[in-house]
Parts: sequence; C-alpha cells; structure tokens
Amino acid sequence: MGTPHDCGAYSVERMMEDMYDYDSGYSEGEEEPSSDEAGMDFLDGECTTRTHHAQPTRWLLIDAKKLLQVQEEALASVMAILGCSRSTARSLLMHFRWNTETLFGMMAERGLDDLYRAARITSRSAKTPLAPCDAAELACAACLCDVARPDATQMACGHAFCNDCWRQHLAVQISEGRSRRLVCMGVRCGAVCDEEQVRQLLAGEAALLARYERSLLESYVEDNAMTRWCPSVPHCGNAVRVDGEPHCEPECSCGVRFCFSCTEEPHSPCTCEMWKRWKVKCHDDSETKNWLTANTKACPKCGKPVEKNGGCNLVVCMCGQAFCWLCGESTGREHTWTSISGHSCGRYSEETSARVDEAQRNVKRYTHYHLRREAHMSSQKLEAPVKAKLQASIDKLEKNQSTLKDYSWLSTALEQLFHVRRILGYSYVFAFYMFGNDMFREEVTPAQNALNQNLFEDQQQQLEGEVERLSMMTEMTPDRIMEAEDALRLDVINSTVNIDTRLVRLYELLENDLLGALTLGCHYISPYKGQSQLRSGGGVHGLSTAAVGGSLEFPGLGTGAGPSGDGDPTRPASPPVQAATAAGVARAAARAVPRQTQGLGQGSTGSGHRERAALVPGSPSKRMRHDPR
Amino acid sequence: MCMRRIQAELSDWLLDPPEGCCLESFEPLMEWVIIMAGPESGAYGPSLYRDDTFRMSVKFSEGYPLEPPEVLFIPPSPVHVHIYSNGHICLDILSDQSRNGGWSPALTISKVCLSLRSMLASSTEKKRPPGDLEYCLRTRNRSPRETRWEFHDTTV
Repeated sequence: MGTPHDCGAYSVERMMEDMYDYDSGYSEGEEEPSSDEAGMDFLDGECTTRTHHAQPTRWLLIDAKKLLQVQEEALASVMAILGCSRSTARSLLMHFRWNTETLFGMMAERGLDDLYRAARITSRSAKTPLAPCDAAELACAACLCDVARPDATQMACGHAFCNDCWRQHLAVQISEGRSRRLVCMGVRCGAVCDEEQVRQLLAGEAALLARYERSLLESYVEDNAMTRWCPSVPHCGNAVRVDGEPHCEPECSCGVRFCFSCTEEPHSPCTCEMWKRWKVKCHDDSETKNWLTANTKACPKCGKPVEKNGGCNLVVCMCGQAFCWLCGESTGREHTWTSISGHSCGRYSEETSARVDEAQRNVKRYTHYHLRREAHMSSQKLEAPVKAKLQASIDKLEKNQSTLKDYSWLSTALEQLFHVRRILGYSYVFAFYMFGNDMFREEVTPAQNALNQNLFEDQQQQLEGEVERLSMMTEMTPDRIMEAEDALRLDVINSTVNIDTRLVRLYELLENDLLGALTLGCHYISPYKGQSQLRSGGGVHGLSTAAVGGSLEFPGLGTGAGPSGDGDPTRPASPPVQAATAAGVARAAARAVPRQTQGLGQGSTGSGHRERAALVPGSPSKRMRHDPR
Repeated sequence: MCMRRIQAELSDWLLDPPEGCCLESFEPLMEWVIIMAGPESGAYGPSLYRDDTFRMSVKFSEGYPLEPPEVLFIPPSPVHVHIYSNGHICLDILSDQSRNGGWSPALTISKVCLSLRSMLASSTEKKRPPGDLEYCLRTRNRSPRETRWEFHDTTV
C-alpha cells in the first residue's frame, strides 16, 4: 500500500497510460476524436461526484517526448478528417487553440470554407492565380531579378519568389518570433507557408530551422487553453494537460504542485481571484496605509502623520502647529474641552469617525485572518521534520520486519496532516474575502453572510480541533511507534478518517452553499481530492490493488472502526450536506443563533466578525498559541 | 540584396515613372525625395487635391525589401483623414504589423505612390485624423515605423 502521496503520483502515471490507450484508439481511424467525450466514457460510473463540478478532473503529464506524440495525434486526426496538409491542420489547430472538438464542431456547423476563413487560411481552392510554371525563368518580384525556375519556389497559394528571397524573408520572420505564422510574401496574401517547403528552404540553416521546429512544437502548450507549462524554476521541461474541469491542482513529476488556472502555488479552497488579491495585500503596505488613514492625520504645516494619544480635539504636532483632530484644519491654541475658539467643523465629525471605524475594523480583520493563516503555515513547517523523522523510522522498521507489521496507517496520517494544514491555512484567506464586505457585497445580504460565516466557522473549527489532535498524536508517536500500540493506532486512524470526512463536508459547503449560491460571475475552487478518491481515481483501468469506493482503507483494520467525537468516520454514500442551498442555510440558522448570542454574552467585540476566544478549543498542542495581540 | 533591389527599382522608375510623380533626388540612394501632384479626378468629380503638390520622403533600410520603407510627407502634408500634419501616413501596406496583407516584398515604391494617390483621390473631405495634434506632440521627430498602427478603414 502506498502513501497518499504515492497514490497521487501513481494516478498521474495511470492517467498517462490511460490517455495513451485511448489516444491510440482514435488515431486508428475512429470517427469520434473528441477527447472529452471519450474521456468521460472510460470514467463512467467510476466515482460518485460529490460537488457541482460535473466531471472529475484528470491531468496528463507531458514531457518532451510526449509533447511530440500528443501533438502528432491531434494533427493526424485533423489531417485524416479534413484531408488537408500538415501545415493547414497545424494552422487550424492553432487557431482553435488545439481544441479538436470546437474545430470539428465548427466544420460541421459552418462548413469547410468558413472554417478556413475563420483561421485565415488560403486554401488551395482560393482564387489566387498560379504563376506560369512552364517558363524557364521567373522574375522574382522581391529582388526584381530573373532567376532560373529551379531556383524559385512556389507556395501553395500560388505566389512564387526566388529561393534567396524566401530564405531571407523566413529568416526575418523567424527571428522576429513569428515562426508559428510564416506568411507568404505576396501582396495582401497572408497565406501560411507550407512546413515542408519551409524545411527545404531552410535546409542549410540549422539554427533557424531548430528555432522554427521548436516554436511549432511548443505551440501545442502555449496556444492551448487546456495545457500549461509546469511553473517550476528552473523549468523542468514538462507541461500538464487537463481534460475536463480546468480548476484543479496537478502535480508535476518534478514535485511541483500548482493551481492549473493561475499557475500559482496551490491555494484551494481559495479562488484564484481571492489568492491574487491576498498576495497583493500581503506584499504592498496597504495595511500600513490603512492604519495611517485610520489613526493619524497629517499635520497641516509639516505634513507628518500625527496620532492622537488622548485628550481633547485640539492636537499639537511636534512642529508646534495646533490643529483640529476632527477636520485636520490648523487652528489657534485657545480652546476648551468641547470647542476650539474661532473654529467650527461639527458636521464632518460623524462621517469621519465612521470612516475611521471602518478602516480600523478592516485592519483588525486582516490581522486576524493573516495571523491564523500564518499559524497553520508555520505549524506545517514545524511538522515537516517530525514527518521526515517518522517516515524514516517507518522505512527502517518496515525493512527490518518486512512482513510482520504494516505502518501505512501512519504515513497516511502524516500525509493527510500535511495537506490539511495547507487547506486550513488557505481557508482563512477564503474566509477573509468570502465574509468580508468587499468581494460579494452585491450578492449576499449581511444576514445571509453572517449565517454563512457561522456555518463555515463551525466546520472549520471542528476540523481544526481534529487536526490538532492528530498533530499531537503524531508528535508523541516516535517513542511509541515501536510498540505500535493498538489504541494509538486506532486513534490515529480514526482521526485521519475524521479529517477526511470533515474536509469533504467543508468543501461541499464551500462549493454548493457558499460559492454555488452566487449568481454574478463564476467562482471556482479546486475540489478536494479525498484520499479515497485518490485511490479509486487510480483504479480506472485494471487497477486491482487499491480500494475502490468507500472510505479510507487501512490494512489490518475494518474501515471506520470506532467513531470518535461526533463525526462518522465512514463516509456516507450520499453526503449529508448536499441538500439544496436554502435547506442548508435553514439548518445553519438553527445551529448558528445560539452560538452567536453566546458569543455576545462572553463580551466579544460585536463588530463585523466574531473573535473566537481560542482558535482550537480543547487542543493541548502548544504550537497553536497565537493571540491576535 | 538591398542595394541591388533599390538600383533595379530606380531604373524601373526612371524608365516608367508612376503617374503624377517625379523624383526630386535619389542621393544618397537610400533616401529618395518624391514630388507628387494631387490627383486630377476623385471618386465624385474633380479631386479635392487637384491643384496641390506634395513632397514625400522615402527612406530605405538595410532590410529592404523584407522590411517596409519609411514613407512620409514632408510638411505641409495633404489634409486627409489618414495623414497626420507631421506627414505620418496611416496605410497598411507601409507597416509590417498588419495581420493580413500589410507590407510585402513584392511591393515597390512606384506601387506605394499609386496607392497614396488613390487614397487622396477617394477622399471626400479635407480633414485631419482625430487626435492629430496630440499624436504629433507625442511622436515629435520619431519615425512612423515606431508607431503601432491600427487599421480599421477598408474603404480607402
């Protein structure tokens, strides 16, 4: 049994084989080369889709060798069906961003002529008159010289020039980076030159030809909406193609995992937009600026920011200038507690203080979520050595007593811990934007928002509790691993299963009730690949070893032995939180109301968000000490 | 290639100059000055420019004819909706950025002159392009080849 990590890598390999099988299937002359449909075929009945994303996502790792192969397959299918030349097929595919489905769709709907016109290809049927071929000499229109016929080349569009001119023209075009659309030299022609003729013309210039070929090859990745280069630095040379839902987090064979939609680090459950905003927010000093606007006023004389540290509204700057705190105007020093003599700006005060309140609250919110995210991220870092140490001792133990004991329960737990930490970290970024009054202000009413937030935070909190429990157990384990007490093992397994279940529920909530309820615009997150899904996902074709369907499987144990806490470790066949949005919210309301009153009773701030007294109630872990102050 | 081609074009021009155009100077060979008479007749009756004469500067680069030549009117330039007052001309065949068509090595200065005259002939209104002043301030003495042109009018 592999670790979940192995499972991930394993599924990629499986996928490559599957894709290969399937691809070779259609290149043998099938009439249905639409990759998506066929892709769905072999996935039929494979895993139950839990979310509103209809198709499970698959990705195909493309390395240098594979790149040529997949490209040739696409070209071959177009050439076979349209009966056109390779360069025409390539131009068509580039125009349709290597999506054969749309290409054939357009052909069926609008006909071949429209297809060529859309891709701006002058096909052979176009009306360009062919230059007289029988003459012994040809007057090249570019250099205005007469050249012998064998020294001239005529392109498919009918324009003929001497080989020297062609070569120079191609050299200019290629060195200016237009290899993918080498056009004819004819006046207002714009037809794409035939690849074979280009190769012949450039036969003597290896460097240019290499650049040309490379550019054509890489077009499959760069002009393709479903394919991305792996963002690793230095670049590993691989690309990833996704079939189906483009919102996923593939892992390259070089070990880099990335968000396919934005090629940033994996950030689920954040949407790409949220993550983009968060990064900007963390990198610029906007919060400093916000704090300055909220808490200081520029002195009207020297311009330095001044913070009021108490007293009445007459503030005196270090430079000696006195000014009114309410409006920032310079005043005289004559004043009482309530008024400044000769100065009146009363009407502005309410608006100003409202603005200050808002800015202060925003800073506090940001700090809150930022700190919690950081806490999980640093926990993840701290857990890494523990994980490495444990993994090492597991390996050693397994080697020594190979058949006696199985420690995959522990490596599964470690892997789960690593992933869930990351997800928890990003879930705070998600919460910052989801429940802030910024991104979805027009769509979610404040009351609805408060309900959503409660619902979300409940689940998040429960998940955190479970994660801390597991973290604590794995930390204690090294000393006790030798004995591998049954109680400990049971606990760890239960905890792992619990976390998996909770994660699935959390994602259901996010996808169906929170983001799914939004009507303006679409917001997608990469779905949670539950561990069981990773395993059964690999079991598409002839995979017999992995447990298919159901919940996590632990060797030597029945699934879901002894539920701990309130969660049910065996995943139910139909998830409970998949009800319609309205129903889910109603249930949430019922649960949320008492919590809120309780929170207020404890004297929490009562402003926009609820400060939790402790991040992880009941968790004995020391690492999670991070008060906002 | 560049010099040979310009020589060939020059001898073609001298043998058979395009209608209404004559060469004022071709010294040095890479920089020509052309005198162009406004076309006699336009699309609807006599042309708006029939009594005018313009001077044009043509500069060839080393990459000619694979690169387009730099062609502009020496001010005062004709008042036309595609010609700026600093002499820059918005015409697709003078640019190699145009997606379909644009400059082609098969074009010659003589053909460019014909195109420009027909552009003047089809004009129905003596008007500068929108944003003329701003464009001239922005480009100052730069070459029109540094401008990114956007070609939208297919009627002239």
